[in-house]
Amino acid sequence: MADAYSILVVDDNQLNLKLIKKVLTKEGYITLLADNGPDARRIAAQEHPDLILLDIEMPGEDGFEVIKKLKNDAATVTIPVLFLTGMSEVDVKLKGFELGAVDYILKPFHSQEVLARVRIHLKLSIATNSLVQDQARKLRQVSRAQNAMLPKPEDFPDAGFSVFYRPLEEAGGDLYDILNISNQITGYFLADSSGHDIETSYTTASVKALLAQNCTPVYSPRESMKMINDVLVEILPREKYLTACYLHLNRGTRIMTLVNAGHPPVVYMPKGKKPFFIKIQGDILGMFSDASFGMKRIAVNQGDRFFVYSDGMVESKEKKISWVTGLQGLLSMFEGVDKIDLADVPNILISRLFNGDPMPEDDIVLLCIEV
Amino acid sequence: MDFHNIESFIGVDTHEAGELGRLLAKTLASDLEKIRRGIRDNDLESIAFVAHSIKGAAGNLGFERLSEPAAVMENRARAGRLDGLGELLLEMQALLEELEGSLAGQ
Repeated sequence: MADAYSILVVDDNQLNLKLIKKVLTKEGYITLLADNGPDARRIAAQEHPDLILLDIEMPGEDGFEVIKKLKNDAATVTIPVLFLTGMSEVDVKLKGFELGAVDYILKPFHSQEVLARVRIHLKLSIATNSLVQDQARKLRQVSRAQNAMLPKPEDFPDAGFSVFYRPLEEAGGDLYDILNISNQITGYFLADSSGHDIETSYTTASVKALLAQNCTPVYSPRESMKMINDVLVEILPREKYLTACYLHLNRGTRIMTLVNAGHPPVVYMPKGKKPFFIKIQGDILGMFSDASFGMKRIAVNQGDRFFVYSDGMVESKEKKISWVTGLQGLLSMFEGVDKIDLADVPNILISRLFNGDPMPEDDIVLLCIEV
Repeated sequence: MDFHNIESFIGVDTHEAGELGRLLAKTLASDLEKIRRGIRDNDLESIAFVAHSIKGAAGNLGFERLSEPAAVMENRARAGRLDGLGELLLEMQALLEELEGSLAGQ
């Protein structure tokens, strides 16, 4: 037997409540009743009915106020609301629609009309939910495809890296890649796209392809970034851009070259020494055709570690912390990290950083590299 | 005003119609008392609100004879007029007594 649909009926008149309850119950619906606005909102949030029939003219909190609050509450925003009104004025109906009602029933109503409208709107709601489920399924496919594009440490045993990656939504705006440029040279790239939407995930795929095409032994790291930038300026939608950091490690020469494109500074931790930021200026990627990117070359030793991360690790829009401010406490999190196995470092740093607090409202990626 | 009318109007049995009829009689008695107080206190806003409620509830049960005077009362009260409200109240009071009579004979 299919689950019965539940309908919350809100009316200050007990007779109307009883009447609608009788009509709906006879047709197999579960009815929830409220004779005032606050009770209606509480029941809606707790029971999440499939539909709400809401009287407009009620003492205290009227139906308009109730629907406004229902639509402002994440727990009740998607529940379709039909309002019941004895007022046939256009203004009243329009106000109801503007506030988010899907339909109205004029009082006095006939029970068959109530049933017909309830059925129609339940069907519409089922269709909408099915559409939402379908879209969610497609987004999950994008998510899986995007995850499949992100390299895993076991796939690059010589690259010496570990990673923490958490997209905010199904299609994340953060991207990292590991590039086997030659036997001696490995490239590490991390970028943060503006936005987290599905369009951003396609940007991710484009950037990955551009990295493969342009990060070759023929070009210097800065030239690679410049060429990628020139293509992105052409293909990215307006107002879309990336901040990025590219690390180019030549094990033969033991030189790490860093290129920065408007990204938070890399943390460098020479083996056995304290960590510090490598601050390099640079324009963002994909916005300006004449962009310039700062570059720094560092002589490194075996066991040195580099930490590249997205701004989601250090900034919080909710707490109004920009990444510039957020950097201040970051270095203290690295204490003793040099003694921890590289594979465990990302999770330990993330748990130290958020200390049990909810993760921020942004994508997060942390790439840990050991020379 | 016979409660049996509810049976055919909504499609319920005699027992359920009686239940709704009794609830209407109880609600109506209380609402008419509120209107009486409203007329005494010149509280047109309350009169309009209660008349509106009676209009809807009576109409929903198929009692046009009751919903019509309630609608007239609501409109007059909204227009700021107290004249004729007493007569309308008496008309509704008579309908309530009719309903109670039909319920008593159930």
